[in-house]
Amino acid sequence: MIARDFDYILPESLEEARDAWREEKRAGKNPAYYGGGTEIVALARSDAFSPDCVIDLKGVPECRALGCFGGRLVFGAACSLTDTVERGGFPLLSAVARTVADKTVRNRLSLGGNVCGALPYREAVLPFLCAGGVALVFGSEGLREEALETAFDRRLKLGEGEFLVALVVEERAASLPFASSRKVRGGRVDYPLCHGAAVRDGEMVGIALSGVFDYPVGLSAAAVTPPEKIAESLPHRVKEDALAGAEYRKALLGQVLEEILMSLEVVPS
Amino acid sequence: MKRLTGIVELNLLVNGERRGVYARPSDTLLRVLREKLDLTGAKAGCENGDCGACTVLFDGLPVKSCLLLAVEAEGHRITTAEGLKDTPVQRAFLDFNGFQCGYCTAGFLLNAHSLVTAHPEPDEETDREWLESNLCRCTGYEGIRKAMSAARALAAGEGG
Repeated sequence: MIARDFDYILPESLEEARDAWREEKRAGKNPAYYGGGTEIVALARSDAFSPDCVIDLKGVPECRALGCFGGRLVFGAACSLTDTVERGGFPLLSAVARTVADKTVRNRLSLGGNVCGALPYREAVLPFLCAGGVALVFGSEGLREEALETAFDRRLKLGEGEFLVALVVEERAASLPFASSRKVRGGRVDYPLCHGAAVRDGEMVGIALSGVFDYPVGLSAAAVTPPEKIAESLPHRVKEDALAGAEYRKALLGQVLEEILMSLEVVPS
Repeated sequence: MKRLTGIVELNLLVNGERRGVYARPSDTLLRVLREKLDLTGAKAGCENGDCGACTVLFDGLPVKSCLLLAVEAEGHRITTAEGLKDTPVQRAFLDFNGFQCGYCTAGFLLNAHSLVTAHPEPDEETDREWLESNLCRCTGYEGIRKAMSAARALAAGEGG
């Protein structure tokens, strides 16, 4: 059980959600935006996170949007990963998101929760990172739109009180040839030691990785070099923890890149 | 905008019955089902979303009730193991010994019931994807797999 009490707020608009946050902060409280709740509830139960109130974004229509609008595929932050897999129309996202946690958890786990949560893997952002995705964020200035190339640096950069409304990708980019490969230590339901996702657009290949570093990383255009060279000149420190050492992760990265490039029929130069 | 604070009255639809219950906004659905509504089919296992012993159906889809606040269940259909009486999946798990100690059984029953309903035709990959959400500490997976197949056949027979 969750020992501590917290309030539950269900806003019906973007403004209500933002204003609820502001009012809580003004009152000296610690609010938390809430999507599927899978992480917040688990952390609250172990007393690792103690919000004074949760603001449930599932009540906000824009956060539940899922579909094609004006040539762009929109994935509301409060949509479950199951919905994004089964109804989103983005095959790479379907392939990547269906490996996160297990099916029953994905029925609740939200896209926004996966991308903005405390766990470092944030695998659902990979397809958007490598396909030129965009983040729709709401905050004090209203709704703003920013390419993930700049909006995502180790994590989604959100200002005080801001929240992710949706991730967006061009319909054309969502239909590009894609590949993904995920390596885990044991069974399928596990954190990734190396998870790579990629799209090919002509001679350009965009790759995004999770599990290799302490955060997801995009390696756009680097993919046309041989996998062993990519693995040799990594831009970040390779993660080393109880699941795997850095050298093992590097070896898996080489495998993942090779599988992805082969699947995309890319000949490294 | 709805705001719930302190002890609140919730109106839940569980196994087709309207049930009023007083709870805190921070109470999980698992705790409310077991401790306030005396529906002990959902089991507290890891309470961390890993084991699946607490699985219930939320508008027909399996979810882990330890990861869900009870306040979120208002306006939705909740099904617990008690709501599966006389279903094909119940009969099949009995006939094919789809349990050993029984602690995980309610979770498997609900997941299997939802799976058979959503996917009447067998598909090994889909079955694996759904059922890997539940752990059996007795490792009685072979019996569970056979019961699953039987439940699907029974459901198809009833449907046809």
